[in-house]
Amino acid sequence: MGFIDISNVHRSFGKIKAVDNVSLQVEKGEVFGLLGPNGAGKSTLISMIATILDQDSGKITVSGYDTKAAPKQVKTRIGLVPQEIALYPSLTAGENLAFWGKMYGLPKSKLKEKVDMALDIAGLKERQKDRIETYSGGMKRRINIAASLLHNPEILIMDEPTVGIDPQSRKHILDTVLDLNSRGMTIVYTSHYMEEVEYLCQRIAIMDNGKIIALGEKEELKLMAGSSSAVAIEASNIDEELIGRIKSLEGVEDALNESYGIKVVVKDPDAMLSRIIEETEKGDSTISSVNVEKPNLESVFLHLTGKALRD
Amino acid sequence: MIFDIAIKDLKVVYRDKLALAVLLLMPAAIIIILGLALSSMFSNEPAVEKFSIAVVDNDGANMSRVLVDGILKENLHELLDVKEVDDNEADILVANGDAAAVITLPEGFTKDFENGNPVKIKIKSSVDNEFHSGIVESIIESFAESVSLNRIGTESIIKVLIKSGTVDMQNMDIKIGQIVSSIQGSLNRKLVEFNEDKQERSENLSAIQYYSATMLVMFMLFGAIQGSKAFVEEREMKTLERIIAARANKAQIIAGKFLGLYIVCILQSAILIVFTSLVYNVDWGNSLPGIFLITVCAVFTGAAFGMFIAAVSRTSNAADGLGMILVQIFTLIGGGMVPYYILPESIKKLAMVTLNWWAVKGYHDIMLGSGLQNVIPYCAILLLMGIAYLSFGTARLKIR
Repeated sequence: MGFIDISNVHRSFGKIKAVDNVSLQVEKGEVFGLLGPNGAGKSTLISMIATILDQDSGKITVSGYDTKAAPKQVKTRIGLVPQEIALYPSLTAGENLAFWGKMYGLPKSKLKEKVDMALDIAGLKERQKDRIETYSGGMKRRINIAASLLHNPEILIMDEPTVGIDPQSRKHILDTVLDLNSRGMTIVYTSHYMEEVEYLCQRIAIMDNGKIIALGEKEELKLMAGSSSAVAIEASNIDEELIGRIKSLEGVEDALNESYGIKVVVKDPDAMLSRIIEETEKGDSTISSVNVEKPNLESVFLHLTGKALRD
Repeated sequence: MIFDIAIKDLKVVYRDKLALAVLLLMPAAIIIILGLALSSMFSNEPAVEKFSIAVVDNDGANMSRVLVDGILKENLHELLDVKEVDDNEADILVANGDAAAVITLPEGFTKDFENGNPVKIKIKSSVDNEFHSGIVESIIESFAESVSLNRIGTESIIKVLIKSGTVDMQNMDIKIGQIVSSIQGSLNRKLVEFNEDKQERSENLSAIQYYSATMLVMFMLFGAIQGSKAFVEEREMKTLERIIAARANKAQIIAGKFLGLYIVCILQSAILIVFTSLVYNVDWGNSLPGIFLITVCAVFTGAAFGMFIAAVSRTSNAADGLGMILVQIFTLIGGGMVPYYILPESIKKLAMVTLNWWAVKGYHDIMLGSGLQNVIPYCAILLLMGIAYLSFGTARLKIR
């Protein structure tokens, strides 16, 4: 049995199956990644682990406690970082953290110490008296995380914690995750940014349409995509006709129209590169850059679902 | 935990300067504007402008002349411009809109009165002038009531006097004449005193007093709507969900939010009462316990109404829109904009389902000299309404 044990869990909203027969285990002390596009069911699964939402069927246990039968025991062990900035904009960072500390039941004597600790983790101690509404998006995200650490949880569940932030704050958050994990905290990290999940997590589950479509060590998952690479061509005037012509080239597995240009999945990029460029330049397209990407979680998702992760 | 949620809400409201201005400065400004602008409606001068009526006197005897000359032409000369005409002229005047109504006194009007028979007074009113013709009907009804009261009272007393031997049958004519005039004079005095007393109650309530109470209730409800909007916003921001994930349950969240809203509305009401009392010299009456009780109950119902709005609204904008519309309707039919005693009876009946009606009545009664005892029934009704709103709200409120 895992530290978090999920078995045969279902949850529907009306006719929509948000989580469809999901089973997985998260081991103590690991950083577990939950990867999938928006609407895959990640947030619903997390809400059920955090006892905010009940499953229709199946069972979830956290540290041996059933989420339905013993929600209080589960809550004391979990810190939840919601996808939204769930803070009060007109209150200062210090006031926000003090409020959330009280909500976690911290005694008055320990409150200040815990708030200081959380501010240290967020790296925003010097701005604790500023209102949240004056913070940048990244700083808000850091306080959003800090508010979930006040009661020293054993498990930190992070739902898309880096959406819409600057690179500096993103780096700070990723470093914080690794630091907390190095101190023994189990982390469940959900994102649709595959590079973050790949960077942080030892084991990964990929979700799509409410189901787990792949689960395992990240290197194992990459093997699922075979040895295919992606050639990312930044170019203008890409149309469906060009995509079709490239798809029809021998040795090309797939071609996708991306916002920056075209992505071509191939077995042997070295052999194919000149032919793809030549075909692209036949039309009105002007190439500004070419980049060869080795197999990654994006290509695993593409391989499994036939669509890009950010679709 | 409940107190922590309530205190946090108080801090959030205190930090929102715009909301504070809406809750405190706006009512203070509107009370003085309405108080000054509509003061004539509350003064001793007739609030209604003078208007014309036509009278057709087919009787021409004693009683009809008392009504026409004594009452309509003399006593009510500031209100009525009386034109004595025949039937045909009367119809033309009403049809042209030159007279609001025609009063037709039938032949034998005085005789019927003297014999105690039912008298028929015909009132024909202009369809475009229901308000003025309503006033005419009231005047005639009051006249008929007072005359029959005099007659019945006089007859009863004379019968008792004859039975008891106080009146000598031989000199009865002379003595009865004296007794009748004495009794009628006494009854008239009584009647006048009664009317004056009724009049005094409404005259004593100044415009600024009237609107201090109505605007206090309306803006207290606006405060409650701000609270309901904030509740739904928290649902959208997922802070409520986060509180659930921390430790609290739904009941604790609702209790905390209700308590916070209640404290905000109580403070707002207290500030407005003290402010209008000190700055506008508004007389809130002599019963501090009465004012306290009606405020506590009205705010309870207002805060419960806020929870009801939060429960039926999917988005914060919907809560804001629905709440504002309902509060304005409640205020309008509850006499918040125009004095409730000039509202049609049907609207008055409808207004009884609003908390504004009972709360404002309570405040006005205390302003007019009533005490704690008199407002207890109003408070009971307010509390029942509040319990109904809160029960529905608690059952229907969603945290996520």
